[in-house]
Amino acid sequence: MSESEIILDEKRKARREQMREDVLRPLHKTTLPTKIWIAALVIICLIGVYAYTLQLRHGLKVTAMRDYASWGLYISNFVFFVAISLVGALISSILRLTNFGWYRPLTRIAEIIAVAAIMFAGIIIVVDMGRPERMFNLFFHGRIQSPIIWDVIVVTTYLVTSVLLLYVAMIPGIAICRNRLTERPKWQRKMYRILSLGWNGTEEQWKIMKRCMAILCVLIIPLAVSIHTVTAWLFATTLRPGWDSTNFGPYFVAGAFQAGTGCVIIAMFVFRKAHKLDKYITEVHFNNMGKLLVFLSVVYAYFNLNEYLIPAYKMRTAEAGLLNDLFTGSMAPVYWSVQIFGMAIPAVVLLFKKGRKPLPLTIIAVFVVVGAWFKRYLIVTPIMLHPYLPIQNVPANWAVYFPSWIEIAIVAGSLSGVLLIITIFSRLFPMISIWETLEGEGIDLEKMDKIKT
Amino acid sequence: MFDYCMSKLKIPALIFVLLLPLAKVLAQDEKEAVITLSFTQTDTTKTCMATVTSDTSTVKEKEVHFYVQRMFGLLPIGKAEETDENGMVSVDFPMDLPGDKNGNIIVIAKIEDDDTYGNVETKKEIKWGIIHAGEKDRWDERSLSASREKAPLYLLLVSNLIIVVIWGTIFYVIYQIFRIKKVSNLIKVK
Repeated sequence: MSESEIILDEKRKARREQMREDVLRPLHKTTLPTKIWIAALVIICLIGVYAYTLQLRHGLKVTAMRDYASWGLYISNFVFFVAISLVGALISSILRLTNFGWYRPLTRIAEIIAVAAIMFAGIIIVVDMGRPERMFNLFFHGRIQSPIIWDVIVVTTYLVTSVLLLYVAMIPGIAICRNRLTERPKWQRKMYRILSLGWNGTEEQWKIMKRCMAILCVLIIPLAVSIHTVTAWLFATTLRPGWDSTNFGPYFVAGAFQAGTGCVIIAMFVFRKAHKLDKYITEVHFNNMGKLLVFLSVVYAYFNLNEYLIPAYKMRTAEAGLLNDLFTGSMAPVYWSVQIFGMAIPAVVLLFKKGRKPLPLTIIAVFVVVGAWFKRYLIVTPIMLHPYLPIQNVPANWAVYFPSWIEIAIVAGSLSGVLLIITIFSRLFPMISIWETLEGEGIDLEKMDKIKT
Repeated sequence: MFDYCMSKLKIPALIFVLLLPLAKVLAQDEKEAVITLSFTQTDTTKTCMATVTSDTSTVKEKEVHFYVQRMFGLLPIGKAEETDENGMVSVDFPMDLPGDKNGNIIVIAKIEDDDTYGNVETKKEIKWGIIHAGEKDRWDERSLSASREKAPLYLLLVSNLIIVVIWGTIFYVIYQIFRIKKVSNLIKVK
């Protein structure tokens, strides 16, 4: 080895050490603001659990769902969770396979958002069931012809694949935690020991790990597209104005990528500040994520144009009631806010470089994510209130829907649950994949470790 | 105090006493009517006929609506017509209405919100409905709308193939993850 190579090697080792220090630093101690944040989330979750016990005791009559709006806040929230879960595939897989290098420090953030969201998507579906103890009948007696079964299968499969993708890439990181975080409580050290699978960076282990990553990255793309397409089909296979569309699958997938990207940007901003990761999550990442978001916003705006403009041009009797309700009726404030703040403003502001700086981009991302949540509400609820055939012999107040406090509490609990999982995860595991980030900088940990079996 | 109250109540009480007989007279004005349904059929037509009578006399110039009972409501048959001088009104009945499994159909004739007779209704069952002969045979066929056991073969084949391929890959990855542990054990042994 020449002298220059030795110096380069030393520099690389120093860089590796520095990064390990920086990424593990937040795991040594939980700060007071983090504790307060966790406590607040736990309280909201507990209120949600209490509300759910009331629902279990008294049945779905405690919700505002009736014959007209039999899908309400829960299903809107389910669609939102499924949507944001797609970002794991977008960042970790699509950007990886298309040879973008800058995505590397963001994979962990995207993957944990995906896992937390898809877990709660599954939970919120059970919450929507009047008789949750009969859930297993779906598996034992479900008809393969039913889109509900397709959704159950694909949600389960996507959850397992997302967990594996998150975990496999994390094994070297967990091994570092095992070796370095020796002052942590016994249970935590034991957890690191079990989860690290005895990782010591041998050639064979790297080979297996990278092979698994390659397989999962390819596998997760059709699964991610499937999960949201099947969710879209739950609606599109139902004969209702507003859902009766052949465009629904790609429309949902485009919206999901946009919403998920918004979530990752917010998480990037928070973890960059809270974990002091400025060196790894740089303005370049925000700039690139901003470009990605503006592209996705424009694509989603295009799909929206198709979804609303063409039916509005025809104004078929059945759809006119729904569209008038959205454009000028009771839902108009929400509809126009979503279109303007969730799509038009991001598509314009992010075209400018100043708009893609961390703070303005994060504010825009908040608009996008909040807009995305309300967008799902608009996709589900107003359509339920405008069926092709009016439902007969029901009280007049059943033809309107506003969620009860129990629904709001449960949904707030589920949103807090997602944030709680991400927060707790960030207290236990590195939020940046060290080996992937270093690999992006030309430092190959596999070669540096050089342990042969 | 009592006297004061009595003096205040006098006028309303007087109005009530005066109006009571009037209300009775008005109430008596709503008479009872009966609709009798009859059906006639030729090779090409089916006709529903309603005869409206009150006491023993026929009722003329009263609008009668005809309906057929459906699962979620009433299907109007023809336009509402007024009874003739014999108290009769008829409507052409569609030849192609589906009935129940025996072909029975419930026909309803109604006088609705009439000043003299209020609401009057009668219903009668007749075997004028079409029986879907092929329904039972199709029930046993494999189709998207059939039961779990009768799912289309192509759907079963394609969906199970996808599930096996995807989950096979997942199990392969899980096996590989366990191999990471196995490899580390090998090093320890060495």
